[in-house]
Amino acid sequence: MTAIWGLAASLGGFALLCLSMRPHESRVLGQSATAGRRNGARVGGALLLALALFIAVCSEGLGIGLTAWYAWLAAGATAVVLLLTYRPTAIRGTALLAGVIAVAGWLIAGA
Amino acid sequence: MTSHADPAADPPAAGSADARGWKGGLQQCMSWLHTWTGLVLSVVLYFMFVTGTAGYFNSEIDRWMQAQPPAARAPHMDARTMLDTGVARLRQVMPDARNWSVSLPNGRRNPDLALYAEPKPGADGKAGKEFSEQLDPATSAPRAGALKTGGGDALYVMHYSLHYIPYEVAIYIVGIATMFMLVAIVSGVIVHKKIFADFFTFRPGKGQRSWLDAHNVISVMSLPFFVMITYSGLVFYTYDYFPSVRTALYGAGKEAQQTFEREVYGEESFYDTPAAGRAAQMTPLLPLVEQAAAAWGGMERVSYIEIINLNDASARIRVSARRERSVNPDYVSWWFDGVSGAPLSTPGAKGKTGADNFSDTITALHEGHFASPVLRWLYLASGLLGAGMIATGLLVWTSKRRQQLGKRGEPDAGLKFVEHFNVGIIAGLPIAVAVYFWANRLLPADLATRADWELHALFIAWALALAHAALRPTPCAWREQLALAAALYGLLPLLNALTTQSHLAASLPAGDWVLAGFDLTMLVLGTGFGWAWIKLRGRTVGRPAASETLTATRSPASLS
Repeated sequence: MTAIWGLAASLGGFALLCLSMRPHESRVLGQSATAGRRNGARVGGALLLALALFIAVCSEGLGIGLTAWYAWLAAGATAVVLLLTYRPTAIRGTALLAGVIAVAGWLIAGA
Repeated sequence: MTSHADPAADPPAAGSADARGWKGGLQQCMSWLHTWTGLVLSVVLYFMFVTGTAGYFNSEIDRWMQAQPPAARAPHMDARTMLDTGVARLRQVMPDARNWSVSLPNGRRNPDLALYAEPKPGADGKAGKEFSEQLDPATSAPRAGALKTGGGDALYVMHYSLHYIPYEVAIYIVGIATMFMLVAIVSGVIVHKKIFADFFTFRPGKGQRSWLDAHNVISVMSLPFFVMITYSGLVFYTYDYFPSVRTALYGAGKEAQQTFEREVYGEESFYDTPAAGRAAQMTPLLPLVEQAAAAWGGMERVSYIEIINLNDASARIRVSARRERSVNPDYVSWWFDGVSGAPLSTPGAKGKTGADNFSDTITALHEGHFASPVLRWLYLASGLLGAGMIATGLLVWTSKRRQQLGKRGEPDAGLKFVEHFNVGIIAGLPIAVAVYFWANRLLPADLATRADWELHALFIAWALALAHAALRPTPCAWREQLALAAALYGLLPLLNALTTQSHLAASLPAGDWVLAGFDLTMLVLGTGFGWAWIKLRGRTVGRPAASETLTATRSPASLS
């Protein structure tokens, strides 16, 4: 189960990081975001990736945890690339949904 | 120059950069290095990535290729019962063996209760025929009727020992390729100027630009995996790649070699204890196993029991366990005197040096035995991304040169060669692997050299694919080979249904996800190749490897 929260955190984290990047935001949002929102997305994204690391290391130990984290990162980032290419407008929803699943799963099920 | 990050900065003639070679700045040098090491070693690396990635599911592929009916998912017998059953069976088939071993089921690598017995050497000093058998851990019924096959292990082993050439030569070829892979990774990162700005960027339908995007994105997504897998691949053969260090410290010759191995791999072993030649009563096995189990935290930890010099005064018993849930799954062993039952060693793992630990951990990361199913699939995905990285890299090489020729330019022999070659490699190797699976089902079941012919079929198919790619115009070759790959993978479950009892209609109801998973994965692969084929079929002009001619007709300005 932890893999689900971890993958969600990675997906949500990269989706937010993508939203925080100037070249992508207009395609994703249809408009330019304010600097404040961009920074918020960047911080939120970084926090979600950190959460993924925390979940991984807590449940699997440092060795396997780090390995799992890298694997989740690769999967999450690849998914965001595909979304940005073929369904850019879905990124905001994905960020929200994946972020909620990750945090809720982590809080309810425990890491 | 062949900057990977910024096509706008590309000067009109790429050949000049190659000619300049090392004389440019750091980025140009690295670009040159990346381009040419990548091109030259791509075949070996692509082969290693494809077969090695399959190796992450070697046990699962083994099971599919053995074509036994789906296994019932009954709970295992108690470990003590399994041990008793195993010993009773060994006593029945080879009571006067030299060695016996019982391997208890543990994890995906060893799903069965596996028995093995080795006879005493005959009067002529030659060993007789050994006995091995797999029993169902739920019912203790022998698993019968497994097809003779190289299985997934043959694919896995090929990724470092290649095939048809001596092992010693193969590991050097593989080592050189791996070293240059590391060079290509590092130089690739230096060349990729906008690694963060272009982190998520993939722009499809833009010819060369798209291939470059795809190459960049794929490489960056799994960069930690690529670094790890490449570096650890080299660590595996440290002692073979640098034999002079060993010779300098230990001297040459067989004895020095043995001293070296004992000190490095250092577990105390009584495996070679000579037989005393006097019969003796063996100590009961179970108390020793229970003693070891108590030291390791439970009977379920015990994975392997071995008896050396059975019924001899110098009998030895070894009980082994696997250290679970760590990247580096050590097997720890405890040796006992087989007659008195006295311990001969300690139950703990040997004290490891830091260097030992580092090398064991890094090689364990490479193999990924510790990986749970989700992580195993992600390993597979990263491995496939690795194959994709090499494939897109090759396509960047050709499409870039095509683009620089413009519409009227005539490609030189080198470009033509690589274009044809690309088809036979990128599409041809997957075809060959599919043929390996087809051969497994179609070769006669009683053929003695079945496993050999499966592999011959693989290489014959690859040779034919390369020949086909060389003879056909490149766009046709791409279309035909992708269609063939789609058909071979997509129809494999059907072939399975026609030739075995382990097909989807049997494996799905039984809940046997190893067998069903293989068939379903083949369907996914077939769909993927089919999709690529359909994408290419729609194109009337242009080459798949150089689709920018399409873009050029739409917007001629883009070339200037």
